[in-house]
Amino acid sequence: MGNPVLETFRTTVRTATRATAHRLLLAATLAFASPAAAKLKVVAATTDVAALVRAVGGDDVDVETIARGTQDPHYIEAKPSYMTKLAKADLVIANGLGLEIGWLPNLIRGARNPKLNPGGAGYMELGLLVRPLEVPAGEVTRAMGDVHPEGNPHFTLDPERAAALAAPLAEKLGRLAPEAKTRFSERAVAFAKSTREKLKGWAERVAKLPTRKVVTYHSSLSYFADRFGLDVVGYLEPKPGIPPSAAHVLEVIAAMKRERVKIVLVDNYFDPKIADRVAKGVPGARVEAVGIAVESASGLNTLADVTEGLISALERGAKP
Amino acid sequence: MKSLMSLSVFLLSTTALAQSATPPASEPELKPATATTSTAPRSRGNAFNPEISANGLFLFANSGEGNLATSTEPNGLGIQELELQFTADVDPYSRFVALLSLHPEIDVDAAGDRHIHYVFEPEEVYAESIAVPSMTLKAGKFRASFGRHNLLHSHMFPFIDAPLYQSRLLGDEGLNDAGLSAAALVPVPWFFEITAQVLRGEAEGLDYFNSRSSNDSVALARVRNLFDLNESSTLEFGLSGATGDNRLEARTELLGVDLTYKWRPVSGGRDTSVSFTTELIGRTVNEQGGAKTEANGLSTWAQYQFARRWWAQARVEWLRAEESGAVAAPGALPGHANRWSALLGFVPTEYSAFRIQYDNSKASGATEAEHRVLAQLNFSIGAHPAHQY
Repeated sequence: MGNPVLETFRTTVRTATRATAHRLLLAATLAFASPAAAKLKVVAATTDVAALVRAVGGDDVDVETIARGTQDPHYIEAKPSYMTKLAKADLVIANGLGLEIGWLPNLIRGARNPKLNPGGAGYMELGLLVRPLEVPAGEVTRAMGDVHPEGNPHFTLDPERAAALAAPLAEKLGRLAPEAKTRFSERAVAFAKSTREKLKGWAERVAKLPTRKVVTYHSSLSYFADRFGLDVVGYLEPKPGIPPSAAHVLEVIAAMKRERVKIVLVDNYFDPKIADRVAKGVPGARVEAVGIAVESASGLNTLADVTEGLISALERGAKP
Repeated sequence: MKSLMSLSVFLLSTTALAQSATPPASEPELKPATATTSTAPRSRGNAFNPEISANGLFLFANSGEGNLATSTEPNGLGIQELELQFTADVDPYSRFVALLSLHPEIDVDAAGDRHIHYVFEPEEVYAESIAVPSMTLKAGKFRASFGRHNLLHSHMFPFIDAPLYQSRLLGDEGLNDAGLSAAALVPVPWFFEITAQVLRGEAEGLDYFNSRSSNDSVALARVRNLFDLNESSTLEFGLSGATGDNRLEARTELLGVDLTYKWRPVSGGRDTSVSFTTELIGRTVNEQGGAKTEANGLSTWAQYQFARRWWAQARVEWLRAEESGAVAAPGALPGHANRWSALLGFVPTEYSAFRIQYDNSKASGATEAEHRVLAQLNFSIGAHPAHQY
């Protein structure tokens, strides 16, 4: 009389319940067996933020990252496994300026860890501490593409802004882990100092370039361009978040010829095919697929590595 | 009355629990000497307005005459649904969500003519806790945590219409009712969530749970596991069960199993992804004296994103209903049905989508398969949509 499908359900439920109970028991045993980790658990929204946290937090913090360097941070899926990470975290650090708007609020709610709620002791948003570029003036509509009303969120590519974030980051970490407060401050001072020293060297190298005109894919290099006085002649995207159209690519080619632009910088998570088409249309132009985030390519382990990579790409592009 | 009392008890205990948990301390502003704070100009009156968004679904349907009797979508062009969403934190303890839906309903008059009128109703209206550790408590009217598809709003459906098990076994609008919910995140290395809910069991379309007494309720439980197989892929496994009194003065039982595999590469993930979902639901409507009516539905579908803006999808479904009861069971089904569907989707941005779907279905008793074509336009405006997983 029994429905075979329902019977199968019941058996499955029983088996799964038993299996889950075993796993739970194992997990609980492991949790008690391992020594209590005293380190501050930080979850960073992006690899750039994680790099800053590592620079300031050093061995006193455990850092986990949500968006990988090879992923476009605007389009991360709110994977429930990230909620599990956040559930155990003492602090979540967002890039901010709307970069994570599609996924981080969902993840924080799903984590059910009230101290991470925006405004809570375990929440920090770096974007609130920087002077933003490209804040749209006047009315904002989505006809402009995926614009960020708070301004361009890619500020970690400006070494000066990154250096300036070290001190408030140390302060926040110090409040959550007072025993390491002094070490956080010392590392923050050292990070800011070394970054500013490197900045001088990079600026000198950019000053030697025969041209500072570039074309980029997305507006992700705006802060970098602003810091080093580059002239971004155009974007391959007609509007933020909108893939290049044939007509727009022709406009960019015309602009590159007119302005004598020789280099196209493409974030390495975008399809480089269109950039190659542009380069073919402009004699002598060179396309550089660049990592614009920490861990977006091998060897890019710190924010300084990323800047170094970008400056080197500009130098390669400027060679005759 | 009983359910009203239990609701107020629940709300009181939610607040008490939330207060015993440390409310998030407000953070003094941090400002480095070299940085300035960005403040978007917002008038004081509007600063606390909820996030508002609207979604419009426009549908063109064309099917053989045979489909019309069973199809939930009439032929021709029309509004499938307009959904308005309002969301905001209420205070440090709770968040409020209101989703209002405007959609057409079809009447057939005495002469057999079809007339469309629009109804405006609350799809989901609830408050949920934001200050209780490890748990989300919820009260109001909401989509029940039964299976995977039942939680989706129509603009998030993987196909233009709902799977057969959803529309035929759970009701036109799914298992969506007033009730209370507690969903706990269990502290294990993988994502493991246990949800317990109590529903009123008297919403429209829930004939299988509609008992003679308004004191009866429906109890529901769900476990959801999600494992990261590697950085690019996940496997999700869920089990759901619900039980409640029916109008035959016996119990109705629902059981569901869902399995989802998703792959989106860590590198190049904007341009390609794959997912497979299978969901199996069984419904038993018991009667006094041991007779019962059983029905099972299985749907399985694959979604393949072959370019940044393009999706190709396929779905296969079975529905089996056994009629052994002496009395016609509430929400009884006319025999068996099989269906397969194919879909092509163009998704220019996160805010719009154009999809076309073909269905080939065969119901028991029918001599030939029925064909149907659906085309849908999907537009969202307002607050940034959340990326679901």
